[in-house]
Amino acid sequence: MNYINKPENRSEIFEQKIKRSNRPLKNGRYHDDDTSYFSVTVGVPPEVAYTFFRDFTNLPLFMKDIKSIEVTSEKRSHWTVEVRDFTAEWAAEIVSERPGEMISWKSLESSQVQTSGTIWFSPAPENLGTVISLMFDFKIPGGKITEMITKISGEDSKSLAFINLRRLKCYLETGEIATIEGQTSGRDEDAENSYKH
Amino acid sequence: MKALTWQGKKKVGLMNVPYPRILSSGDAIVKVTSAAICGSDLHLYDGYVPTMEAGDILGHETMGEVVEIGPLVKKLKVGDRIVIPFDISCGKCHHCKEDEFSACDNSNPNAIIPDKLYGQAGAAAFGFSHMMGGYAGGQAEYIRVPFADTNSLVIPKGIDDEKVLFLSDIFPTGYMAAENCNIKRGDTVAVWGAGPVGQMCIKSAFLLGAERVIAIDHFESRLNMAALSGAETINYENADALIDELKARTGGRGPDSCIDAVGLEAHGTSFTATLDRVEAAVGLVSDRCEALRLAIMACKKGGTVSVPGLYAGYADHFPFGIAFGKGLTFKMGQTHTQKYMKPLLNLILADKIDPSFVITHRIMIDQGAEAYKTFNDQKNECIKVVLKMH
Repeated sequence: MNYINKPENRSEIFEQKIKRSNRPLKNGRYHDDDTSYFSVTVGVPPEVAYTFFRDFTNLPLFMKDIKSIEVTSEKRSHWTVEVRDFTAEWAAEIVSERPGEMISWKSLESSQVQTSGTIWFSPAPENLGTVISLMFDFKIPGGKITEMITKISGEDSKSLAFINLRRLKCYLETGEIATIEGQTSGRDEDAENSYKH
Repeated sequence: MKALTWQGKKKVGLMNVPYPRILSSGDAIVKVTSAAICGSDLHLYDGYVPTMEAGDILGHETMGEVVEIGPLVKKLKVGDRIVIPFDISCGKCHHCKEDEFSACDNSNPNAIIPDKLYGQAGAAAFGFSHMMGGYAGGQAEYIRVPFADTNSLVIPKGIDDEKVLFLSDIFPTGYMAAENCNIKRGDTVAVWGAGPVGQMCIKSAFLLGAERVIAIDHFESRLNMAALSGAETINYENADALIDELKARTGGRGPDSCIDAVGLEAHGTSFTATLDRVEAAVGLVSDRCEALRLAIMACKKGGTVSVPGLYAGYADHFPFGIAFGKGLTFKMGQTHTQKYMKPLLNLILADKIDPSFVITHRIMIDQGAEAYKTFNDQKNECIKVVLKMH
């Protein structure tokens, strides 16, 4: 059954008031919203996707710029983001979950980063695997650190949510993350403008 | 290593860049033996494709020898001689499993850009802009091939590079375009554009059982090459006269299917500007999709218009009412190269076709930058350029 047909999921999604902005895209990124709602279809069974995600120590395998996630208790975890030489940390707590189906989390009030989100795992039609839906909020009070993260990583939080969901799919389906990071080009500092023998 | 890099509009430079290395566990590193310059590389050269960055290594028609593999590579071995498809596919997602390789969900690390522009992101491609993934191309001494088991075809020993190189793009592209025509016995296929892809369309249409193929172009040398493949030719000057001529040659019915192997060059220098600029440049745009408009006008009732030519944005003055009125079928899209490479290799091995007939220029990579200019400026003499790397 598709997630949208499940009454409890449907009401959860709509209750969270999807905020959609019509502002135009800039440089291929969203730049306009702290809340994001995306879903992706992943070619593995729901229990595989859920089990992988529920072990938060797996998340740095695909999440951009996440350096580590330490699970500190059954409900709590400690997150570290590192972008070049900038580091941000916060603690998050699971506020509700249904095993195999849904996880909802929120950062602790003492954190410098305010984030909350819910992820749903539901069977996709036919042999398509799992629909993973993500509702995600990411705010940093004061705005300065937000600005800095966006500036350094080049990604606003909504674009980051999109990118990370795609990377989750890619990792679950292929065991790799498609990347060009670190590839050779004429922009490399060792590159020379014309070839000399 | 030597590499041809995009430097800006009409600027391709030979550079000395670092060797590629394995970045993900499914990668392979390939020592390139031959690479071709594609007509679509000229869109990059002319500055029409958005999200290119100075220093990007060009090239998406490549073959060579595997020199290194990542730990996730299962089928490919060091020493294998392979042809590399132009599109990059993961081989594992739903679309890849359905043989729709150019619709791969996973290969494009910049999927967010086409997702927003097109509603969905297709497969990445080598050397073809950051919107298409930003992967370094194969006009270089070495290339990194991601998801290498999927993006490779092993070539048996003893066959010339030139015979199999075009399995990377133009042969599968021409073949898929002809296959999309759903050719039946007695059919006539009209092909707009007798460039390298058009030439492959002509050969493929005959292989698939077309009775007649009519090639349309305005370069005499390209039409001569088409005639050698058995096509009738029309050197087109005037649009109205062309439709009349095609009707007269097909008993008033029109060709059973029409292939647009010309395409539309994307406009603008940044992807955000594409939409605005295209809409602002209405006159230019209507000129640019002329081949497609003529194909729609010429095609028989209930016929098929097949489009291997590259389209990137919005076409104005698209004669949708004519297409509707005649009940046409449209088939199009980037080639599912990985689906076609093996069966088409078998056609080559069985001597049914030798795609090297399109090659007019063979040069060393050191002269590659000049070759872009030659290919761009002398379309009459220069049909297909093959670069030798070593």
